[in-house]
Amino acid sequence: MKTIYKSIFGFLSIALFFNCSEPEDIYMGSKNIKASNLIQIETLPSYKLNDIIYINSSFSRYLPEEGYTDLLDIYKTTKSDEYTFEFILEKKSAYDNWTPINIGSKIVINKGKSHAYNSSIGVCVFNPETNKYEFRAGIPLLETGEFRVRIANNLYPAYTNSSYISVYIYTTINQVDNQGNYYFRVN
Amino acid sequence: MKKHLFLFLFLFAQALLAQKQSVKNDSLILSNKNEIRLDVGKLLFSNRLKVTYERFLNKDFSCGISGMYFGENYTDNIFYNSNFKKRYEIEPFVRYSISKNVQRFFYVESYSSICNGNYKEFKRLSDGEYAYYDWTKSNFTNVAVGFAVGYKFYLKEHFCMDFNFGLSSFVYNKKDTESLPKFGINVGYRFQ
Repeated sequence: MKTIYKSIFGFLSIALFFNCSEPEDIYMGSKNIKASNLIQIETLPSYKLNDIIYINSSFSRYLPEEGYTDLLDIYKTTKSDEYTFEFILEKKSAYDNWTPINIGSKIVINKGKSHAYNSSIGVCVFNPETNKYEFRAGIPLLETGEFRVRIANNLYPAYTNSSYISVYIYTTINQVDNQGNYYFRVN
Repeated sequence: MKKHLFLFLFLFAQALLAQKQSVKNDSLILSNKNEIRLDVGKLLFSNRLKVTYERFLNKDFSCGISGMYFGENYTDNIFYNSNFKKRYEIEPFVRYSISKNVQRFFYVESYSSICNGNYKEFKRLSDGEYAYYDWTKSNFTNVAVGFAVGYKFYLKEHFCMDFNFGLSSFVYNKKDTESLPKFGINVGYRFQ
């Protein structure tokens, strides 16, 4: 009888061990696409105190996808009302270090929304009348010195409608270098 | 691989012990040619019902068929990046006993599995004007063939427990899968 119990115990242990090594049953659908110039910095020839530098991102829900001739409807795919991207304003110190500046409530919102965490989050809000995601916000230049605006080149959908499909957009930004920095001086 | 080796060594050790057992009820067991089994492991640990009928052709050979129904909540993610859900599975098999003992023995099994179900795929679709991505549900029927090893013992001349482990592979449309494992923890009743 002991042999039987040992057999049962051994088999159950092995079965449980195999069962634990099975993959999890959660799968997310996601897609990466590329689109040019979805984020723009509205630059000025020169900057002086109290000028405002605007960041603008306004793009259609219908975007091209590499390898296909028809446009991809990102709103129908993601069911997301919002697309977000990160940006940060930094100032060069006298020690040659770049220090992040918390823009906070000073930001001037024209379209969309903005949140501030470690960096600022630009939220492009879907406008059903124009069928576009829209964001335009200004950073008031309240100090003199050397500055840079660093902007991430990817936009992520925000799951306001519990969507399970993501379309991540990789874009280009005007006037920035390879690291996504736009340098300027405020006099 | 270590897991398989461990299982094999475990079953082999049990075979050596089993050979020392009494064979007094052998003739009683052999006179019963039919057996039905219920896979209690699947019933208790997952939302599946599997019933097996086995016909004993002689002391060494038997053949049979299993039918398995998958409950609504059961999802088997055997396909990479897709959500596969079986509805039913029919599994004919042939077994050969590799032990001389009739009351407790090891066996090898060759089986086929005909399964039907549906699976979710992430697809690019079109509404006529614009494209979009969504999950779509497709029907699926396939046949797998494989081999299994198992151990069976009789508590009385009628009641048995049966443990098995097997691996199979789909015959066609197999690009998304490597192998399909199966485990069985069965209780059965043998009768004339």
